[in-house]
Amino acid sequence: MHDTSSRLPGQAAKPAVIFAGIPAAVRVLFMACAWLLPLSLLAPSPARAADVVITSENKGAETISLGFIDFKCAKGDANSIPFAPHAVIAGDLDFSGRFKVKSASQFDSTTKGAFKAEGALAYVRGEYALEGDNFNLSCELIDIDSQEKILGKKYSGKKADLRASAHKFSDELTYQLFGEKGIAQSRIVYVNKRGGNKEISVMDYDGANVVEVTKNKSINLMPAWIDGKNKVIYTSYAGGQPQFYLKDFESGKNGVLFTSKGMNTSPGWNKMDKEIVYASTMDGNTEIYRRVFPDGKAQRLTFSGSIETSPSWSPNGYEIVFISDRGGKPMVYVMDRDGANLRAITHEGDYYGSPTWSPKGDRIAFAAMDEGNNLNIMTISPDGKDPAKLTTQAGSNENPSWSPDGRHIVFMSTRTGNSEIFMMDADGKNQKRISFSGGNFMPKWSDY
Amino acid sequence: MNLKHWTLLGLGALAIIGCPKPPPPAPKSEPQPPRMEEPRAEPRPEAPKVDEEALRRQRIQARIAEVFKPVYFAYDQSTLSAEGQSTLQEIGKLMKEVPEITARVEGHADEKGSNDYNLALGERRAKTVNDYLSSYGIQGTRLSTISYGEEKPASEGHDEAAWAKNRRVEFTTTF
Repeated sequence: MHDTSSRLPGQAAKPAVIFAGIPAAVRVLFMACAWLLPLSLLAPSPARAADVVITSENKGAETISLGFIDFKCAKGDANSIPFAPHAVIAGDLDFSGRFKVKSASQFDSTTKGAFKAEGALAYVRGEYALEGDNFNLSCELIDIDSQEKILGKKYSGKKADLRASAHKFSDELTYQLFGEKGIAQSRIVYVNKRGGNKEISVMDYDGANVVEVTKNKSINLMPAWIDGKNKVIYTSYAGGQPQFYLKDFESGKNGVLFTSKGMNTSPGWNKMDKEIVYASTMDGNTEIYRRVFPDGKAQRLTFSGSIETSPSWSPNGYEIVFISDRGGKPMVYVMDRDGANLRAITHEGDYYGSPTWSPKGDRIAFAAMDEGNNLNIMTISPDGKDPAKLTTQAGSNENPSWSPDGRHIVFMSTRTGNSEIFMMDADGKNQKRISFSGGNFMPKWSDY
Repeated sequence: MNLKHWTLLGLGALAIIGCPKPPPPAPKSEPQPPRMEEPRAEPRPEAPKVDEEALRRQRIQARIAEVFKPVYFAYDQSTLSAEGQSTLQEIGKLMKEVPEITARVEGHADEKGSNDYNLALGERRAKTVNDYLSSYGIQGTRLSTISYGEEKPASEGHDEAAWAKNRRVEFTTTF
């Protein structure tokens, strides 16, 4: 299975807790049962630290217990903001599946005992100040026994950015303890029915901070992130035929990206080569095309008279997974980035849709129709083996999209009677609803 | 008066009265329908041409509304049923008759399945109808296609009755 112990390229080592009796130069690897180590080993040196890196053989299997103390509002009115920063951080840690969080309102001997009973070696505490339009936030990870600070971060800015800073700390904490990037600062772009029209919106991955991207009262569909979280491409009927539009969050501009004959839909971003793959009827039939972003020449990849649509890149940009009905029914196919080596990876069943490749490269998620004509989310290995069904008997479940760390999937479900956005772990556990306004669908998870 | 005078008088009377005419010949073949008394036209100024044109346009609009009906499809199919073909035959005839009519052929699908595939399916249906109408010799410039997939349902329901109404091609005409 996937090895999560390797560092991301270009990252410097970070200081952490040192364990007496173990040479500082040696990187310590400890599994989830770390809390069974005798406490005498856990005497940190005040000045320096060795690396603490967790390995997990199975995704989501290893967790760290952490204590968590409510942050103090040192200045200003805590009620003047709609959330407590520590609630945001605790929510991030809990959702990630990496932590078991034990909360308390203050740290004393009782709390210390309770934390240690849960196996926690450290706890999170912090405080914030609100002055006029501005905030200051200070967050710390403290060793339970020595009270030494393992990690300390300070943030400041406008009140509107306080939530983002809380998310940033969650990610910094995750990286400190796991050596992997957290997803607390990621975003979801999606289609949102407003006033009877299908418009594009974005929100934080936890459902907060919704921002409207379109307001053109037309039909807007199939948004996708371009260039990290900086841009969103989408298909819109605002100009008549469905064509690609681009919203640039840095410049604020929102307009046509390019047009062609027919319709352009289903865009997918390749960050390795800065290309998009998409489905178009520019040559008469629905086929797959590829272009260098933003305005490269269209390269046609498929040449069958059948329907080819829903393309998605492999994380290394070498391959494309897509849907084709050249065999009579819409099935999942994979081809090289130039259209060669085209083959089906599903062979049974009647109907498949919206395949999407995990950023970890090892699984492809897609929707598969059951006997009741409902779609369910499934994953499969890229060579078509080891299918896993992640939803069942819960309305129709479509348009899966992976979190940037490949540990979670966002998707649309009609199980509540209306289309809403849900999230779950990559193995189908912990299914959780994150939208509530009805008419929300086609979600796509951003990069980190 | 003597006989000569009476005869002259009688002849003179006849000349004045005239000979009784022989009855007109019997009408030929089938009986004629009773002739309608036409209302006497009021004398009026020269009628402007646009009245006739407006009348003609009205008649054609009415025919358009009658003839350009949706064409329906079976689940996951883009082939035309017999009923679909006959609808298209009427449309083809009208478009040939009235060259000013242009039509946008709009393809749709029901909500089952994925949005992407349904866009392509709607496109396929629109293309099938477009090709059929083109075979009537209707110029390409008078026809265009667009697909809405499952995004613009005719019926918002979630049962077969609603789905059947949504698997369709519709027309937006200009005239």
